[in-house]
Amino acid sequence: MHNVFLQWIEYLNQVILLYFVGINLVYTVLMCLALYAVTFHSRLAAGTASVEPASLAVRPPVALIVPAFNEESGIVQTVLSLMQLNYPEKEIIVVDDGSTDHTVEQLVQHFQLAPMELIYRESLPAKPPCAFYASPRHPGLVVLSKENGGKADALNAGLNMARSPYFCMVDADTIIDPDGLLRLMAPIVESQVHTVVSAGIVRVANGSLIQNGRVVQPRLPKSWLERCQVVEYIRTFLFGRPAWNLLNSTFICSGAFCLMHRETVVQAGGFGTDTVTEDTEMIAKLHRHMLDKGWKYRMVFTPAPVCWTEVPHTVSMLAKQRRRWQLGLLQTVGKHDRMIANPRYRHMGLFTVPFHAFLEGTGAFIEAIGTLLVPVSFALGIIPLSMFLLFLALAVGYGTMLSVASILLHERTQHRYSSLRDVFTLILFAFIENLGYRQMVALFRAQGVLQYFFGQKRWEAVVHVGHGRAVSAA
Amino acid sequence: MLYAEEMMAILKYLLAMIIAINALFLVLVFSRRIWRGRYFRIYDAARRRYSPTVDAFAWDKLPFASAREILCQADCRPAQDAVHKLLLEALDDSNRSRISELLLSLGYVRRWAVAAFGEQRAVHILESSAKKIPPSAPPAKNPVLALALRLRFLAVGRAIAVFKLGQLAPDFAFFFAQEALRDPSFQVRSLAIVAIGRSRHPAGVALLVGELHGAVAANNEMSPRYIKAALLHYQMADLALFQPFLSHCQPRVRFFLVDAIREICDRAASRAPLHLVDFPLRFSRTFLEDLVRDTFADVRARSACVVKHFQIPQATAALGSLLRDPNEYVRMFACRSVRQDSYASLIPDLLPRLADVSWRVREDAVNSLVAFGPRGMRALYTYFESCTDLLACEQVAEAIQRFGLVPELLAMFSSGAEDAVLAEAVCRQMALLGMTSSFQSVLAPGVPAHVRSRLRELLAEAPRQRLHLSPREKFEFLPFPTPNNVWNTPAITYAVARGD
Repeated sequence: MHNVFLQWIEYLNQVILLYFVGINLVYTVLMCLALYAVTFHSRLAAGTASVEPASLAVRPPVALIVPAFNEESGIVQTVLSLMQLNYPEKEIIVVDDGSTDHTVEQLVQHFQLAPMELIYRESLPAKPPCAFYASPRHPGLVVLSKENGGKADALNAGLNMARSPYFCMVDADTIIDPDGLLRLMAPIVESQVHTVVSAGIVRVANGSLIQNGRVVQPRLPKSWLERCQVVEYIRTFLFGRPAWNLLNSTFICSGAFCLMHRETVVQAGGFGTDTVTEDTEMIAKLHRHMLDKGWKYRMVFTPAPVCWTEVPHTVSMLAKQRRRWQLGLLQTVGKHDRMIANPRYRHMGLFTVPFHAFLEGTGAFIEAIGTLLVPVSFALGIIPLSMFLLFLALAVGYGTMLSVASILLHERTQHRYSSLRDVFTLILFAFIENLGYRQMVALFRAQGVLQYFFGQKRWEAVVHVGHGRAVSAA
Repeated sequence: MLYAEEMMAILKYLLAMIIAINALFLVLVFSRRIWRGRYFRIYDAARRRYSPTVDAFAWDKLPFASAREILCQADCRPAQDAVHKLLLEALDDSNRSRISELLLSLGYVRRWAVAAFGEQRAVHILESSAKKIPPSAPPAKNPVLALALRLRFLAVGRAIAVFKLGQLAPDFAFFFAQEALRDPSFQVRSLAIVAIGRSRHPAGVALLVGELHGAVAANNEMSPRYIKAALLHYQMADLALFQPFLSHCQPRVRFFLVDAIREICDRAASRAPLHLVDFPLRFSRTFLEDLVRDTFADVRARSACVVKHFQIPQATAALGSLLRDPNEYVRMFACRSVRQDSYASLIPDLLPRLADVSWRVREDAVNSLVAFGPRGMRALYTYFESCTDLLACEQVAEAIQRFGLVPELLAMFSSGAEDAVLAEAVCRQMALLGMTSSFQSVLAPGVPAHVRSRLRELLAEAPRQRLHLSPREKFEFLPFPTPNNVWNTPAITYAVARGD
């Protein structure tokens, strides 16, 4: 019996090893692609940045849709940052998704809004609005209040209200760079092919100095958890996303700030309310819609910073967030499983979706088992000490390599953290995050996988502190 | 499976490799920091040192030779970058040629030209530009080399060089940009297009139109909007350059050209109102006689926005006819275009557009009437109080709320004059539509008691259920349902249940 058990563990170890070899090979390829893409993009941008690119002389109108549920702590700052955006034709639509706090009151008071009855046409299904607020002082701002239906429902309601050909979904806890919208619009204007999605780099706002809805001085946060997330965000946005973009296989775009073509989204059926990550699901839906129709299209990711977001401050909030992301990813690939290994969907069906379904999605479970099993194998004597230590060193070394490569890209492109001390801290945390943080996140992601197969499949609320304000539920 | 020893050996090898790569990355991170620190120290020092020289040269207070002698001392890259940046900052129309010649004599232009076109070709182009003769056509590129030159890592250096060359005086810049348009790389050609636009060279329009034609036909990788953006660098004084292309055989080329002209005119009009005399005679005639009747609707639509600047009776007639165009976008742009006092005579033509089948047209018609001030408002209110078209009513009621006209309405209501009757009718119509929230919020104690009491009566008439219906409900609700999209339904008349 004991032998059978040990043999099973050995088999499992081999599966885990294969998984690690497979995923790390893909990551290595992605890292090389990202180093190539980001380096030359930043070199070109730096070499031609002394004047505004001519393409930005053409600026189609954009609707900024802000779904807000109990966001009283940060909603005014967010709207202020949207109003200060360097973009001529924009409409700001805040969709209050049945908040139980003072989200609407804060907006009404600060922007001197008045209740009005405005025209609302339902081109996408959404819970009916119960009130509209606007003001002649701020003609571009509308607040739409509706009963709670989730973020996707709120986005659909916002889309029904929007009049512009493009829209941007903006998280209520997001602060947008003044030129963020121009940066997202530039590749759309410059492209000959119909560009349905344009996204950019999301940065961590925690710890930074924020005034009047603007990040005036980027700083690193104080707590280890937030610092690990800073490194993680840099890694995700500087090596994962640009590499996928180079392969024209963007599958995940942050819902924090992302520009989309309104008509295409409406044609694709709007945001689905049956997943907990409506942004990822929308990207998959758009790929599928465009490929089904046989239309030429493009989704672009620009390695330029466009916005700042607040990351979880506590382990429990981080756990909720990561479980949701994992659950949402699996719900998305499950919903669009027809694309998997389907040559009709070309590179998306043959590579991107299977990668996200098996290696990023369910693979998270194998990663978590590996995190637990390797020490157990060592304890049971299946793996000798030398090999255990080598495995550990390899895992930490490889993880550090990916993070340090991202920090290098960050230094080449943005160098937003001006002090050398901050760079030292980032590198230190690129190493430290491999000693506990990553393993913890792997376990949260595994929980998400279990939730998908066995547990609850609904949104878990994450608490935001607000950008430099008191704690509130969100 | 591999034996444990072999596995250990592989793992050790992998670990060593990873540690080495980590070390390399760390060295690159810190060396870049150090390099940047050193670069900017020299750069800032050079800026401080050469700023007075550049300023004096830019203001024509320092002879060319003296400036050259001083600026030649910038012998390392950061210092040269600082000089380049200072010269660019000092650049204006009066000194552009002198600064370009200085950059040429300092050897910067040659360096950029070599980076952009290669040593041999750069020398030839520089010699040709000095003799003011066009350079000979370049030899055909080897297809393999052309393919390699398309690669991003080889193209970035050329693109940056072309961008820098594009900042020179128009004659220089155009020369180089024209050459760069032959580059196999999309990035280089894009920046050449920007440079041509920025140069505002008379021959540039023809080149840009050629590229636009290629973009529209998807023969090159360019975006038509990007080329249009380059055309936007041209100004009112350059409009005659567009004339030969306004009858281009490709309708989308005509559209982008007219759209670019529209934006050039709007930009100029934001500084000072335009009149017919600001346009070349043949140009205005082409718009009034041909383009407002173009077979391509988008051309007609954008022509309306150009014609509005003419401010002559023929323009009024043309806009009046465009207000009745079969295409909704033409009507929409026509509605937007008449939004100025000189076209107040078109108010009666705008009123039917309030009941247009397209919400875009309705919205712009309302906005235009509001923009006409009291005259437009009166026409709007008069139309609204007797309107039986639900969609038109909604549109007007929304505008009354969003433009903050309710206090004004209440003031009219309180005045007791002739206007009070109209104001009361408008308030009643809004109450019947259920659009009463804004009344409630402005019913302050300042409003006379008789008005408050009358308004309360009107509000009591307001239907409980608001008219925010889904398309399906709307079809059921309205007497003439159509199965298609609600936005495109013909104007549907709804007999509003009036109180009297």
